[in-house]
Amino acid sequence: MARSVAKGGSTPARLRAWMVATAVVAVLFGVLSATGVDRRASSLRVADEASQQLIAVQDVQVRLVHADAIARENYLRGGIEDGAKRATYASELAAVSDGLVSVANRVLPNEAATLAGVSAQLSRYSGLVEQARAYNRQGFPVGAAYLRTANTLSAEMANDLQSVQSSLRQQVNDNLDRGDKAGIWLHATGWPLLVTLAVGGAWVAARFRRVLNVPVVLAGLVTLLMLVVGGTIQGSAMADAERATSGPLQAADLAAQVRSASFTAHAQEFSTLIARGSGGDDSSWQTSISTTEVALDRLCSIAAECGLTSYLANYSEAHASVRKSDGAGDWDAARGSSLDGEAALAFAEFDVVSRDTATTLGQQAAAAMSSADDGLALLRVLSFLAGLVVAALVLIGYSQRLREYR
Amino acid sequence: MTARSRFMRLCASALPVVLLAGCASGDRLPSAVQGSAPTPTAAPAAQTFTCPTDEVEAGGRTPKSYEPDGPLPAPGNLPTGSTMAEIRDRGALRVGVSADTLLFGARNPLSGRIEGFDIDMLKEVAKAIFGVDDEAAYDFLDFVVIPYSQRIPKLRSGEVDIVAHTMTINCVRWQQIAFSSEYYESGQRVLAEVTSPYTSIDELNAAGATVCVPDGSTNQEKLADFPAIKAVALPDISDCLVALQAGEVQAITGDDTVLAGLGAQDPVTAVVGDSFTAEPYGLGIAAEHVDFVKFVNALLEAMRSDGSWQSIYDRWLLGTLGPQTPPPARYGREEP
Repeated sequence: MARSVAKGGSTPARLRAWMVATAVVAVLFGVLSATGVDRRASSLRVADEASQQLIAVQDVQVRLVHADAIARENYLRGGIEDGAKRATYASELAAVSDGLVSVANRVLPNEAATLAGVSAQLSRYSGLVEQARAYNRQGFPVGAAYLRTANTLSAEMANDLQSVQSSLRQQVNDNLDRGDKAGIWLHATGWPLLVTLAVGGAWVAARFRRVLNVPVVLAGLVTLLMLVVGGTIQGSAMADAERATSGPLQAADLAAQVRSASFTAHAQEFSTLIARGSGGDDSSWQTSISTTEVALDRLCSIAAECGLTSYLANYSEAHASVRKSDGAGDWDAARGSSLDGEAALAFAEFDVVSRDTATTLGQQAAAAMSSADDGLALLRVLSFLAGLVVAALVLIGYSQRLREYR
Repeated sequence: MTARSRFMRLCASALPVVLLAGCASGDRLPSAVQGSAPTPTAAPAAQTFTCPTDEVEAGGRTPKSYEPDGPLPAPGNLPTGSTMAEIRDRGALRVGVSADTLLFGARNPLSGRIEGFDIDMLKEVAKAIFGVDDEAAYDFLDFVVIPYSQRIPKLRSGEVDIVAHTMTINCVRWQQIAFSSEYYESGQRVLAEVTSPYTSIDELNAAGATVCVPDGSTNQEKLADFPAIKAVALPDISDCLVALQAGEVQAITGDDTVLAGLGAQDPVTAVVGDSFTAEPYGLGIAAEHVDFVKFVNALLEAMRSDGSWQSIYDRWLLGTLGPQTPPPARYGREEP
């Protein structure tokens, strides 16, 4: 290049080539950085949608296990059911049905197929519960077999819902990764452009003995500004999404798991008392309560939501008393505590507080996730325009020097 | 603060964000939490019990029990230091029962009470110990509802005084606990829908029918004698009724007592065919409580002769299993 520049006659051609190349890089910067911003925005939006679907599917699961716990509780009451509980059972089941339809329309085909399967099983489940109820009202123990079958089906549906949740968690994580990687385009094109402008500017300054070519300097400043401001906005959006995910969303996720596992444990307490002859084994309850405790510990550490722990401890203590009574042969006392006594009250308190916590955290998660990509739409436009402006300034700046040869 | 320093500060604060924007990775949203299952207690080493040659009696006859020392003593005249006196002083007879075997031991969901043939047998024992009437006797029973698998362990651990739980007397069990004399003679039969073409286990076998049986039961072992039958083993025999009602099996096989309970819950089913096994039921008692076994045997003798056994049978089982008389006692077992 030095030799061709020295020849004088080749300088305009070289300058023209450099000008065109720089303009092309500038346009590429505009297009690719805008595309990168668009991809990040899109990934964060999909992550937000997946997080909303996750919360919705968890709500479906919580309502399903709650309904199942009520079905067992009402069975344990015998022929005389609690009307309010029965109404709650019906409304929870209706909410499950509606929720499944609503979520199935928004998830990927694989998850939609799983949810459709759960939907199909739901009607069979409610039929089995009705049969159990009918036999129970006649005093026939075969009702317990129908209820067991329904409970097994409910557990299978809950497992299916958990697999959908796992998939949605993965989608959130994958899209955050994708969004993260999309940020590279701004830097991958911006810094080379800046170098190109600097080298070109230095060469022109040396060749034409001018300190500054104002348009080229402006182009460099615009590029640098976009790198700093664009990088800040992009990074800020990503950081917001990261914080929302590892903070409010994870907290909402854990709160839903607390609810689901605690209802599962409560349902198992009823089943143990229903089975009597074969239900002395409390290990299922212990496993579910252990899950609840682990989720609560994490919730406490990431969201400082620690108040639930004491409520759960109260319920666990009351449950131990239920098992002690039942184990000592005083089934009536155990049943009384579980249905209307100490254990029932302790769980009811836990239920109210955990529901409020889960609702609040769910709302916070939705708000935090949905606001993470704020500003990226404007940045996408600005990035594209910046590329065009830099290209135009490059053309203007180098054209001034080219005119000196005419 | 000058405009320049503000700009420098903004750049300084933005730089980490700009540079780190592409660095984060990994799972921000962890997998669902999973609690730990309780550590299972180590199961005791399995003991193998075999019947001594002189205990294996020809024709599958009921093993002998201890002969009563005399007539049933009055509640106020229980031998001092006896197991019965200890129970009387405690104020409750701890009984191991089923709560889901309709007609024998099942909870009435309306009253909450456990009712059935076995429960009435235990009430008779309570009456004999505490000297109370039939209604009050229930309150002297301390129920421990147990699964089939816990009948012998609960007796051996001393958690219950007596087990009335459709329990077959056999030689192997006599190696672990003691039994009263036979109080009911059961047998393995078939339950089918009233419109079913099959009226016996042999017809089901000939047709290669699908038959449900409780998993792990002696009934399941017996089905091996009918190789053409397609056995469907479910955890509980009431699950078999669900399967029969769903049309998944063509019949159920089990003890006629249990089948009677299932039949009572579904009027379009019936117990059909003859018994193809002999299942003599006895009241289980801890092996060391020989005095209590003799006491219960004396009570059963009295019940056979005064009509109370018949009355209890007629109340619970006559309508489903037809007329039956009390099985005779077989005595002659030597005390350990």
